[in-house]
Amino acid sequence: MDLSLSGLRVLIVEDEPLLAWELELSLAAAGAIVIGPASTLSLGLALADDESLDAAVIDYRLGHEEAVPLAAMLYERGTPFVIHTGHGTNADGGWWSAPIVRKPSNPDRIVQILAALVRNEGALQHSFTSNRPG
Amino acid sequence: MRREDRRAWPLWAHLLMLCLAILVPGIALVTLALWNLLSAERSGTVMRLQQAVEHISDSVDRELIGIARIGESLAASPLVQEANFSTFDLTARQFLGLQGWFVILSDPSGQELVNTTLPVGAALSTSDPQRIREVAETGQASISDLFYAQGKVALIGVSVPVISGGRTASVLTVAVPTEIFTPLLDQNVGDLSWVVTIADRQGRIIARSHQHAESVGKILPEAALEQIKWGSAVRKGIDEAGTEVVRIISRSAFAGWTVTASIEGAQLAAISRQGWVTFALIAAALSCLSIALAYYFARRISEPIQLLASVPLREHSERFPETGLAEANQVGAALVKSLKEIEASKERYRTLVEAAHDIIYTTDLEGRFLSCNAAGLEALGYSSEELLGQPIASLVAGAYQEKLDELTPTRDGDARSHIEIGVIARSGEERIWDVSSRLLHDGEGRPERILSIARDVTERRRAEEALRANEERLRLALAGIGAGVWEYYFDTDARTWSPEMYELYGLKEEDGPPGREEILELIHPDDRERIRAGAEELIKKGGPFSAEFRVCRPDGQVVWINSRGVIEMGPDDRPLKARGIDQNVTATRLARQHREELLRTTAQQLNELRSLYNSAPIGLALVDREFRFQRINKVLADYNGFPVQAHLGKPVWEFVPDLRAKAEPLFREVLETGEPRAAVEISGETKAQPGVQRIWMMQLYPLKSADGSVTGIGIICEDVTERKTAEIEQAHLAAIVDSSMDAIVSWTPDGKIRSWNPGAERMFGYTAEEAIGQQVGFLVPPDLGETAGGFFERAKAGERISMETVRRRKDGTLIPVSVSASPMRDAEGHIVAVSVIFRDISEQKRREEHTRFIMRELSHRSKNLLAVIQAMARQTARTSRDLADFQDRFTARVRGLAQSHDLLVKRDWRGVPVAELVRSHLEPFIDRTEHDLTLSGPGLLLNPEAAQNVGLALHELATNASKHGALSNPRGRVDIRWSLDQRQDGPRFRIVWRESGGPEVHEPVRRGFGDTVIRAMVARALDGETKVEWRPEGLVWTLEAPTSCLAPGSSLSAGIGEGMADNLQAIYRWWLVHRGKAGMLPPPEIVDLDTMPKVDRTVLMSLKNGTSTQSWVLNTDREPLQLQGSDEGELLTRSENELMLRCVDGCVEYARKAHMPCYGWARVNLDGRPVEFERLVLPLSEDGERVTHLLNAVVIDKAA
Repeated sequence: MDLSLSGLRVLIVEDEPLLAWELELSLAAAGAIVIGPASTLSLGLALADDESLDAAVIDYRLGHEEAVPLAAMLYERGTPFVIHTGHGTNADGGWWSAPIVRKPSNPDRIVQILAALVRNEGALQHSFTSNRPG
Repeated sequence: MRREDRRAWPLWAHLLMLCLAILVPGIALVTLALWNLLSAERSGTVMRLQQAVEHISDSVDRELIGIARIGESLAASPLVQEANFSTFDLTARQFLGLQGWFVILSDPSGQELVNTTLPVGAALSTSDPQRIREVAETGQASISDLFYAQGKVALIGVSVPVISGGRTASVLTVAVPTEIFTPLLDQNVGDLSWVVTIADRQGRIIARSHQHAESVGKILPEAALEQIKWGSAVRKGIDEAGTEVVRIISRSAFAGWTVTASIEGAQLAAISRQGWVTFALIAAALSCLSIALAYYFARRISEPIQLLASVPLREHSERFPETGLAEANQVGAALVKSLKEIEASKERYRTLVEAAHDIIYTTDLEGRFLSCNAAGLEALGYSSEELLGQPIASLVAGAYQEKLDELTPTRDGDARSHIEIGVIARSGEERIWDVSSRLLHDGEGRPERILSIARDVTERRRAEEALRANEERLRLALAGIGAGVWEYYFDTDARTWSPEMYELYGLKEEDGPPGREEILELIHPDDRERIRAGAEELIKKGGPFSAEFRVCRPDGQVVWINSRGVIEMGPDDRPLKARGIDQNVTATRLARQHREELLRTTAQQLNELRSLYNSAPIGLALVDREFRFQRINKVLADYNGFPVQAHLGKPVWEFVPDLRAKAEPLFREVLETGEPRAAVEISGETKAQPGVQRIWMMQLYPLKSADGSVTGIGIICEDVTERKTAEIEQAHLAAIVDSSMDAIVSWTPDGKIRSWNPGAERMFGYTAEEAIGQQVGFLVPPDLGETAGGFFERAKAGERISMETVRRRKDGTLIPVSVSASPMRDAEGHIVAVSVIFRDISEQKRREEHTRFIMRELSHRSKNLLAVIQAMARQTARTSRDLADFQDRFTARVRGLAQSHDLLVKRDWRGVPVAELVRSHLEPFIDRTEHDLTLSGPGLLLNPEAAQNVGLALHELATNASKHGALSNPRGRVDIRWSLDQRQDGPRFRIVWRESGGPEVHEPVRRGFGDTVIRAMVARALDGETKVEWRPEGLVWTLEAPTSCLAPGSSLSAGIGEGMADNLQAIYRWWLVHRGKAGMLPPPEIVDLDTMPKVDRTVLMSLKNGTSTQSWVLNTDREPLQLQGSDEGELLTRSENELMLRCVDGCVEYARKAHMPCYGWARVNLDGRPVEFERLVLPLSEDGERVTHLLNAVVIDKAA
């Protein structure tokens, strides 16, 4: 058991329940305190309002909405987050330097990246290709 | 004709007269003839008598001559000769005395020598000395008168001379008794009795036929004597007895005696009378005969002639019948024919008159109209009724009133007249007529009426008037301009000068016209010789002349005179007459000089014009009134394809027959109206290029002569085919632009909008007025970032731009457009505008967006799906015993997932009806022969996420049921119901899974993935709650979620239609129709088999308060279900019914509560045979509010 996220409050914003559940399990298994998961943008925004968030995993497409405002908000606040998306390179590159994990992915992987993020380890690449098995 | 005319007698009278004329003269003639005859007869009688008398006379003479002969022979006897008187005497007595004759011989003095009358020896005396002497002298015999011998015997002597010795010796006289003559008097004169008397010269009766003896010697009666004097004759007279007699007298030639026969007049008359009587009888008879015959023949004449005479009375007698009179037939036929001809001729005359162009009318002697032909009526404007009876005087114009009398030809003078009068037509217009009238007489030669032929000579008169006026004007004009008119006769050297001539030459009128030399003297010396020579030359040839010269007037003034006129030559080529007009042209000469100058310039210009004409790039031509080319330039000739020369004089249509139909009316119009026609477009083929349609722009203008009449037409013609084609194309383009849905806008080079098509109006909302003139960029949304000016400049530079961008409408909304800009160039290639086409690509953009969305969605979903599958794999792996187990379960789950997706894809990701989702997920787990499955609920569509997740849940439930639950044994039943429940906080979706008939179940200890799914995941996914109850009879799973799990736009009816049996669909639609728009529930009365849709294999039940009130089984081809214990023919058993009701209980509840149709489906196993029910429950309301009735339609099918 990996406790790399021990005690961290992590928001999951994911509309696909199975994935959300998996993530929740994985994060919880890594010791994180899971906020959510929120399946909609508004719910996500509401949950993200909590100042004590340490990190977030954000599904770029939430239903028909895009998580852009949420990402912006987190970015403003300086909260590190991971974009977890099934989309291609459609994300507007540029202004968040958040790492992007493409679906399908291994939840453990996300845990890893999150941990790294929180610890600000190294200069993170703008985007990660996440097809490495992990 | 039928007047009693005493000069005209009827035929019978004529015939009578004819008869009489023939008869009477005939009779007269005959009478005369008869009378003559009788007279003649009488005369004949008389003549016969006369002849007889003559005969007697002759015989007397003969007798006497005989006697004379005897005497002569006696005289010649020798006795006598020898003068043997005594012997002679004796002899004589002897011989002659026998006969009773005597002889006397006398000497020439009369002395008797012998006288036998006397007794012998008696003394001889002288007897008849005178006569004897005469005989002796004359030597001729002679007869004596009666004498008596011895006083009693009547004798007559015939004396003959005795010639002896050549001299008359003596005279012998033979004396015979008068009785010798009496036999001579016995003449047969027929029945007449007459008395003949011979008398001697003294009138003494010598012999008499009757009473001779008594009469001898007597003197004839006075009357007779008287008559004898007159000679031989036939005389009427009276005899001694006083009876009327007719005497026939004859004088004997020899003796000179008179033989007189007298007949009683009455005798002669009697002859006549008899003749007359006879005649009368014959005449009468003949007359009768002849009258009869005459009458008969007269009839034969008169009848036909009467017939003939009646012919004119009978109108239109067809034929003259055959009569016995040949001439009558001929005449009759001829008469009929001529009557017909007359009729025909009258008819022709009438027609002629009527059709005549001239005005023909007749008036009575007072001038009143009796008839007028059509031409006249038309000219006057009156109808026949109005005109007839009116006096012509009323029509005559005032100025001509005095001529009225002349209209009527005089009766005693010339019966014709010929005058000109003015008449006023009805319209008030005055026309001048040349009227020729003549008097017509009736059959008797009396003037009856006047026939007039008139000719409208108004125009001619007016023309003449005009001419006269013109001449007058000319004269005045000439006078006005100081032109003098002169004439000169060569032979007489006579010159006439008008007053103006004197003025011109400065001479005095009273001096008279100057002579030739004088005139020449007046002429300026410099011009004189020229004029003289010219005149001399001219005089030789004659003809027109025109000369200008200076004249030095006596008053010192020098003027230029123009003299022009003509010299007429006589037949012998000698000049006859010269006349001319002289004019002071001093002023005009100057003007003329200028004009000549002008003419030169003009000629020059004309030349230029001509060359222009010929080189002009358009076709020019002139045509005359018959449209023949008078002039044509090369261009037009080339259009036509023929040389210029070939055109002249020929009509236009010869070259362009194709254009005639269109062009000729226009030409005519120009001719007639004298107005030009411009901008005439005409198309057709020319002979130059047959088959090729060309288009010309033509302009026609009239050529007018000085008096304004059109003499021809000028044509300007331009071949505009290319231009037209271009125009047409342009028009097409303009039409395209106008009708285009795209906005087509053009800008001037300086950036102002110059054209704005309707498409632009529609697209951007600005009208053309608002848009035109706007600057470049007015459509560009301010925050766009591009400058419209940029691309405009590039377009102006010649670049064709094509791009996609956004523009702003008038109302501020943005519209994505594709822009295509291109420069517009003129003929030289300069850019005159920039044309831009905007195309609304919103739709395209939307589709692109949608596609992108779909792609993203797809990508997202597939990524998601993969992630889900990955997650599923991971989770399944966690709880699988071994690889095989993992494979089983994993592939089953993936299959379930695929199933959901199939359903989603089938409906384009709109959503999945609950019923379908449930059925499809359960399908693989149901053993049809064993398990019952019922589902019911309204037609709701789950959205894709919900469908996927509920599908997962259903799969897990089904898997679980088949492994551990109701579907693990044969009698297991699964009942699934869903509904839309109304709660206080809004409607919520609810679905309940109930297992029964399976083994006892207990809550599992270990919660696998499936459990997580059915419990947590699906709840979270739908943002709802789940409840799992492990009841002893079977699992019950409940899910409740907000309506956000339903597909947007999912109306309760939308889901119903899908997947439902056709019959039920039909019934559902029928219910919808009756529900109407207001949404009010239909009343129960609509349930009427006759009006409902015809469905079969359907059971309809009307439920009131859940209880069946009526049911109909609509079945045409369904096999009756053989059910346990059922009778033949009964379709539904109680158990079936129950089943049905049971399986649709939920429906009923739902329908009643929700006022919504509810759909249910069930598959049940009836004795090993699966049967499917599909059910539709439709709520009905008596009062429109509460659901009082339900219509239950069930389709029962043997499951396949």
